[in-house]
Amino acid sequence: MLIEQAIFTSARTGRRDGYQLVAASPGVTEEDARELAHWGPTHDSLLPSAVAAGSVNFHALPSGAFCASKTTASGAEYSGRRGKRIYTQCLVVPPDVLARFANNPFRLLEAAAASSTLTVHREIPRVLKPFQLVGRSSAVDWELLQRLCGELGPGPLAALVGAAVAGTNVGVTGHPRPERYFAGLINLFPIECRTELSFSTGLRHSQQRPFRQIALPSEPFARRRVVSQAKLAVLNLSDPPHLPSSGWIGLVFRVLTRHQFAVFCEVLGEPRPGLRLADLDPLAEQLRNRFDTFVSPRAGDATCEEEVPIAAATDSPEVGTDAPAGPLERAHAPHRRFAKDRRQADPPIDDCRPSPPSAQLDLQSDRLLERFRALDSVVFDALSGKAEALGQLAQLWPQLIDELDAELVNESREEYLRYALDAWLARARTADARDPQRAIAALDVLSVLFKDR
Amino acid sequence: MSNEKCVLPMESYRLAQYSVQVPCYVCEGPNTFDAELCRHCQAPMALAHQANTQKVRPKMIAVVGSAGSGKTVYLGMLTDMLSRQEDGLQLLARGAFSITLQQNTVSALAHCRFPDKTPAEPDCWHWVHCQVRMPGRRQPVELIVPDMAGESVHAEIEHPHTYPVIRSFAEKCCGVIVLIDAARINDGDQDQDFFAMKLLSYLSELYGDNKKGREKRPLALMFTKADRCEECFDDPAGFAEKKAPGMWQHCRERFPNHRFFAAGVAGACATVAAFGEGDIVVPLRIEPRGIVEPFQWLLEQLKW
Repeated sequence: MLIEQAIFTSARTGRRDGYQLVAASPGVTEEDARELAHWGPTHDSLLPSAVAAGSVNFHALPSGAFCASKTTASGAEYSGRRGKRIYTQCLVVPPDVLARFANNPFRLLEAAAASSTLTVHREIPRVLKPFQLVGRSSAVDWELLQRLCGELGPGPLAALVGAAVAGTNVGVTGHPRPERYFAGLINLFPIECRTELSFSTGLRHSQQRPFRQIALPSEPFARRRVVSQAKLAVLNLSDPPHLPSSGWIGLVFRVLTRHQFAVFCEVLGEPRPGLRLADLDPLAEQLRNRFDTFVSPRAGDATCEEEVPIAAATDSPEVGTDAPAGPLERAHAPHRRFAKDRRQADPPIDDCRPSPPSAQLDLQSDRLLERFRALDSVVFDALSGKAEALGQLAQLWPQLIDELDAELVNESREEYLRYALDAWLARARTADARDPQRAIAALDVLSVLFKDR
Repeated sequence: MSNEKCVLPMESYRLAQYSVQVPCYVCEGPNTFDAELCRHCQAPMALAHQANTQKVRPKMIAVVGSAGSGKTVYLGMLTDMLSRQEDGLQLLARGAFSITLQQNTVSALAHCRFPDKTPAEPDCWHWVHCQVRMPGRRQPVELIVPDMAGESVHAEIEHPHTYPVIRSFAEKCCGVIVLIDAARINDGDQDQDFFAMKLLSYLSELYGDNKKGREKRPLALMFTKADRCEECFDDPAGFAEKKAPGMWQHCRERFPNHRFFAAGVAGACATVAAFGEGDIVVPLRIEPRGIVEPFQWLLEQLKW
């Protein structure tokens, strides 16, 4: 199926002057074109913090398609007035195409940018051409979630999920790069629900554009003005509210804290036609057992606070500020009689393994699965700095890739790269200082794995 | 020990205020008492609150034109000039928000540049609520004048109900000032004529064919940037007939109570190449001409 496109910007055309839908591909319906013009951002619509990076926006269209757009400050205003021209390239995406990219607008736009279809035209053609976008993406972007967990921590990410589930329009503040946490947010929902999450990472609020989640201005006065005008609930990522321990929010918090990404990815990848945001809390209760039976490498360091719902702005401009503090779970130190047993039972740092690549790859035979499992152990030992493991890896890897097709080799390399990063991050969180020897070991392993490229 | 009573309002009573809806002054849509903007048309609710405190309801005047025709500069300059006059027509702003447009325009011109483009989103528009005193009239008139974006006006004309605030305002206004870019018309650009024709058709459809009162609504057609074509100042009606015949004919047929004017603000302009922003037109000097006359004529046509 083809992706239609349209450009909304300021120009002098034969039809009218100023901000308008300057060009569109033939498949954009009249109804969708009017909706795009209605949502289109005009002069000075970008937040000051987003002028350089632009804004990624996503919302539904009347025809059932979705609009994933990128807004940039590009070029001069045609009328000779000050201020950059706001240029928005809109992709009108059929549901089937978006589903191939796991209903993730960020991955879709990345693919479009990589195929050079997402560009700023110096001379805007009157008629654009629809295009086909090849590729697909996985249900969950591991690396992004790992990095966001490391930067923000599990609490703010789970709070962001809670804001989305709550159904109120939310303004998010407290992070200099909102597009990153919006991109992470998408990965924390089942694929079927993602199309309900309209958002903009860098546009100013306007009632013309009722996005469910927007980034707020960093300047306090402007932020207060937007919140009071728009009756937004505010989520401050640098000071997230206390989170409930139940429901989808509680589940996400557990997953992020306990690094149960493998199960989470498996769960999110399962098809659930017709699933809505309102169905997530019951779904979380159904899935709880699956996460409970999963043995995570490091458990017990999460605390879920007493439940405090995310308030609307009519109640309070800040979310969760009145909630009493008090953990429900606290890990007490073992009695000294059992301390020795506890030390033996606790997994040592070196055994805190991330989800192994053999569990992620789509391997058709048990023999291949066994060989990859063996390779997982060798790779992990090599990452820990064991020289003999590195030697074994240098022998095992070339033998293995001779049996695999090119696609599986690339996929395997990708998984082991992820594995190396996960192991590095897991170790970095537990240690006081980052060991350069570990970094060198990781580079040695990757050199072996990517040697013939 | 004293026995003084202490009255503490219940927290729940504070929510009782939300049960009383406040209608928007423009579209009359219901809103909560603390809403800053109307949730239907995005007009400021301060207009409704201010109007509720006055005995005489404010009248509305629409100033419309295509994008870049000079609405912001005209309104800002008009309010600035009238607010400084000691006799004759005098204007007094109501509410701090009514001074923003004047401030932005005068500040921009003082820095040798034109004001920035007006965003198309109605919640970004500047509104002026003012009291105007005319010589010979005992009572002042309360007026509401918004600075609407040209793109929005054009979108509403082409697809009615796209911008409810424009439609509601145009229905209720007692007079209209239409701005036409004289410089572009003089250069042979017919888009301004076509825009004016579309606008006049839209207004006449909106007002209907009621001969009893609607067509008597005064219509001032003002050629802006007339400093770039002096013949416009000499005979605005003749300029319209010669350069914009479609609009001229429309006015004759459908708006008997109309008049043509010419106005200019910048005595001369130049183009400056600004890094990262392209070519920018800047005013070399400020010489307002013909700013007050259209407004004064319009007020004289009104009865209050």
